[in-house]
Amino acid sequence: MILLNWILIFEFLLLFCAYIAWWAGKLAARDRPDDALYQFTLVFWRTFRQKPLPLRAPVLDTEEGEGEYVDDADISSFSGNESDEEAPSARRGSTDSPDAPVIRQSTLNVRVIPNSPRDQIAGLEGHTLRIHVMADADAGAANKAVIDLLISTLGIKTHQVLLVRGHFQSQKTFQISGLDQDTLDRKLAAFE
Amino acid sequence: MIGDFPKYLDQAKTLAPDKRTAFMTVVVFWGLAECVYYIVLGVVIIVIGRRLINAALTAWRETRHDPS
Repeated sequence: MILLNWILIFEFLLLFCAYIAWWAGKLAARDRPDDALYQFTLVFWRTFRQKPLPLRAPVLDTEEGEGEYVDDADISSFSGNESDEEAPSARRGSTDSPDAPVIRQSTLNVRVIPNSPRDQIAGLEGHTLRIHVMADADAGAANKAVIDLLISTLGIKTHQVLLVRGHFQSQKTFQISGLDQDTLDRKLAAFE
Repeated sequence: MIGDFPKYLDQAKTLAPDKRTAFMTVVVFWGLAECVYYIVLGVVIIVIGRRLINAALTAWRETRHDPS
């Protein structure tokens, strides 16, 4: 049997080990939900299957309800056939209307430096915003400080900011709802 | 099979001309089948290997508590 066959067998063996580790992590997570092995295997299999990260339903930007969070039921009702009297939310989201709401979302890459002298945005490095926070990188304190800083800087609300990647890293990715990428880039241009 | 190709060529020379054609046809088609097998194997290994390494690195980065 040549080397290629052995490599394939080795890869399947690794996948099998990852599967076993996932089960072991699942058992361990019964007592400790933040078990490192379980988190590792969860991210591993999610990435391996190339399944996109679960994202919260987007905020629909409307005239009267700026930055209002809309749950799945409301979104599904947008495409429904209910009459205007029965479903005011459907009327608000009707695509026939010229002033139909548009879904605005943007992504923001952030590099966080914890334990800094003060909370501030240090600048924009390429497509990554460099943020200094006083909080320690422990128990989500730095994440909270970063979100607070983004809210005050961008003039948005808490529920519009979602940390989608890098919960335990200094390099983080945020999803900003209710703000399109161009608007966000314009706001961040001031930090270049 | 592919490594043994010179041996089969030598073997073909010892055969009668009417049998040689059929023998060479089988040898060539087995060789082609083996080539296709290893090409597909290579592609599968690359696809799985890339995903595996990428997933492992991503999981490592995501779950690592970065002190910086």
